[in-house]
Amino acid sequence: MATYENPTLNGLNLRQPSKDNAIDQYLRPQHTPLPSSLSDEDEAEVDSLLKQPGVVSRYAKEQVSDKDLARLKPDGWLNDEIINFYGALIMGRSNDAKENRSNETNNEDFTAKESQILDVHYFSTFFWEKLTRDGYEKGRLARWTKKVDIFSKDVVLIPVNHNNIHWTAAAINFRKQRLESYDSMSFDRSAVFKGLRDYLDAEHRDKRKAPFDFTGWEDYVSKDTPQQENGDDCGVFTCQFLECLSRGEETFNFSQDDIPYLRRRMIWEIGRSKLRTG
Amino acid sequence: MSEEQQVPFTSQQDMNQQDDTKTGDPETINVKVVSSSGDEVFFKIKRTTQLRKLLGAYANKVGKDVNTIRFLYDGTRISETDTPHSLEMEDNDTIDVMVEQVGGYSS
Repeated sequence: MATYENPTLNGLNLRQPSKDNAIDQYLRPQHTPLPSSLSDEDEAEVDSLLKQPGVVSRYAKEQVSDKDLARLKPDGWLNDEIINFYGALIMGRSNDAKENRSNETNNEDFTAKESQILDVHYFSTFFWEKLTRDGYEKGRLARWTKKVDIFSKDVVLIPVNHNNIHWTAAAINFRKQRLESYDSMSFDRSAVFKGLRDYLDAEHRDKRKAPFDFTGWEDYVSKDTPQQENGDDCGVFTCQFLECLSRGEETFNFSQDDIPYLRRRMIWEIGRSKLRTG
Repeated sequence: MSEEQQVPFTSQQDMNQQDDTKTGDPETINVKVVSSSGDEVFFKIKRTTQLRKLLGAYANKVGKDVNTIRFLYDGTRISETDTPHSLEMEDNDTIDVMVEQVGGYSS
């Protein structure tokens, strides 16, 4: 007959970490780790892209010159050109996936991957500057969406520049009813949430002639937001936050250790005008 | 200089120009270019003229390198080959001038 002992506090404490880990695994499935480098061929392509003079790549309305691209070398601070080019790639991929979805019934090539690409709208880095400096009215932000209905989107992605020294990512997540901020330095971003709320309300009043109903909406910060461990990489973190968000990811598969690889990969992606993931 | 080469003029002059335009050439529109500090420069431009000329004239006027400033029309980046026609611009529309933004976070 099995004896039953009352568990001691010590015993409970010992069991707790393994339970925590199990819950952790369940909540945060492990991502495939990122490689440490591109293929030899792609690395060579990156080297040659970095040697190209003048405008290196054009996509949609964006362009990146040699001076901009050089910012993706180790320790470089990213500028609006790199981030907006990357944002254009994210939005382009989303539009392509949407088009494929509408042809879904007679398209055999439709893959599960495409189904993960959300319907996103990307606002350029200047959106936040206009919103916070001029406001919705004076900044004429109503006209920024004259051809797009943001309320029909899964998520609206917004890069945020702070005092010309720091980049973070913000999002209006209509699927989850969340205003989101992703900061690789984890500063207090209550100003970002306030700005997002003000914008959403003003845009709804302009386009739908009624205040926005925030019932059920929350301000969201993920405790698992990857953190930078230097004074240079926030732009790369920000681009990768936006990219992951556009695929509906709840967690991020990169950390500071992956940034050297991600910088190289971004050069390749910009050179080819094509995202490698998703 | 071709007639399409634009000469910036002050807002006072512009008011007169607007009147001319309203009664005059429908192929020409007035465009206001606003800097991040709120300074305004007015241009008159043909609908079919590439905006490259206006952007260059503006940069020249304010003494900026055209590569360090960005021009937006209703949030959309203006590229050199865009024209008022291709952007569906209307008379008295505004172009925003933004300056380069950077970030990395040095502590």
